[in-house]
Amino acid sequence: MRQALSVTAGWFAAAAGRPDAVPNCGKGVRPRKIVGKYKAKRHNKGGYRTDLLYCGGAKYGYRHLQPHVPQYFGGWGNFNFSIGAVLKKPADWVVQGNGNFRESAPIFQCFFAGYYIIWTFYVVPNIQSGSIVTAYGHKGRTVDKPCP
Amino acid sequence: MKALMFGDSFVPELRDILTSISTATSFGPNGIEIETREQPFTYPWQLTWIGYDPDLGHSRVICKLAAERKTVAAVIDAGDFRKICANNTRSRAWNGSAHYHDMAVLASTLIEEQIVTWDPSQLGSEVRIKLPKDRIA
Repeated sequence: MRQALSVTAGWFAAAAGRPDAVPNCGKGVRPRKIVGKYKAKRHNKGGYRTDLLYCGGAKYGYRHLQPHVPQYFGGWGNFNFSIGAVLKKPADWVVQGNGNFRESAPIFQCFFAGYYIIWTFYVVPNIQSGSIVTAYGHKGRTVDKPCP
Repeated sequence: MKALMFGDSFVPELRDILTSISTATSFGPNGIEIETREQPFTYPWQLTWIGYDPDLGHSRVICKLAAERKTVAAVIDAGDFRKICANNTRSRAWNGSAHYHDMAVLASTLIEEQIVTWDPSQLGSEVRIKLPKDRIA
């Protein structure tokens, strides 16, 4: 079984998995170091804002979401790509009372063998600052057809 | 050694968040808005009970969430959140809420991450709500 090189993000916008370098948020690196910048659709307005991923700590940012990276497919490259895809073009957008947005979209993991898995990828940025609190992908159903 | 306890404001604030109504918007593939609706924070789950553990008191909070005829208990121990369990701090770095303290906001985010966004069939009857290993709040 061989996994196709391309990942279909959202609906039909195919993009190759990019070999993004894993952020350096090792011991001693300051929490406010920026390790990701994403073009994010504005809520209830036209245009985009820039949402930022900081190294952060236990409660937010890369250090918080890092354990979710190996739970997803394709390592940091795909995870990073999926954060960007969801923020740019979310399918569902929830404005929450705890001060965060919860944005999500389906991500298709395509297999050369002629089937695909639908994941739902979530990104939770702070409403005011655009700082990413967390992100994670949940595996959904397998469709026994070639990728759309 | 005295067990760590949650501050008195934690349960009321967490209940307030989990029973709050969120505004959700769906978009089509072309980015055009399809619909906007009001839904509970925990949708498609529903909070059925929140309170202190009858045996452990303020050191453990239990939230029961139900969906599709399944109930999952979220178990939150003060000892896993020793720096913020008093629920009297507000970190501007990640807490964007104007009303709620850090412990309530973090617990709501973790409940969302570990229960609310999961399919009920993928969860057991109890989920220990905590930060990733080796990270203590």
